[in-house]
Amino acid sequence: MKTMVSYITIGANDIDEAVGFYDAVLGALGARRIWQQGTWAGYGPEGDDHGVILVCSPFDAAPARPGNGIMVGLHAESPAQVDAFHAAALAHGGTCEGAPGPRETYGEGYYLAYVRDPTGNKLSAFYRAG
Amino acid sequence: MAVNISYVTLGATDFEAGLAFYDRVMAAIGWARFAVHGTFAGYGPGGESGGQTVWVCRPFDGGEASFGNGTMLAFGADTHAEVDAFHAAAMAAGGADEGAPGPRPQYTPDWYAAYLRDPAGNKLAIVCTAGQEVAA
Repeated sequence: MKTMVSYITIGANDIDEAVGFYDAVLGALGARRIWQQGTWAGYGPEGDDHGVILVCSPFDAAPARPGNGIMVGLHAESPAQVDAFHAAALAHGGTCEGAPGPRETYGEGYYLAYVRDPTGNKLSAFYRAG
Repeated sequence: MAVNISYVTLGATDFEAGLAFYDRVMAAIGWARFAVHGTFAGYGPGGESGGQTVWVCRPFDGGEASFGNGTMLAFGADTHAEVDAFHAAAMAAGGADEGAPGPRPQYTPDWYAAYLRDPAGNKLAIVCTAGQEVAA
């Protein structure tokens, strides 16, 4: 089915720093860097040749800047993957926006962590039991 | 599936205006709103909440919504006509054009896309890579 989110781009001011961060963080969730061309890098699952997460310098050549209200929620297959995602982020220049753990206010079985990348873009890792 | 986007949140400067925009634009690709929790509104394909979702929201920190530079959310379309309809719906609902519907062979031979911004300035793309439609 093609009618879904195809991909998202995330702005980076220092592509080398960003690649270091996303290699570690998305690697913890089972993704890999598929390609890099200049200041663009694409990440996706096995078998994907385009990329689901594209880290890039902005199209308009102005500095990258995080948006307020924008967050990318990434699927995790276990609470352990959420933990690994959060630890990898903090070890590679990210900042904590919410420690790994259950979020009872969302409902039963939710386990998330929130971080920001070195540019300030907000991400979560999202696990839901069942 | 390893590594997938579960959801994306997009900040709305004016929550009601955000709903009006996304209700109309997402319908062009078969998405529908399935929930409103306070100032969070969830959209999913076919109005389903179980797969990928997009949430239009007021920012978590209570501050003003802003768009990111370098941030763009791209939706997949099944047909070129859906790309055209998504872009047209956005223009009619207060969006701003960032690239008219059409082929972009410099990306891939089958890339047919349009680019736009929502009323809060968030940049969106609508992309079909299914190639030319063939009459049935």
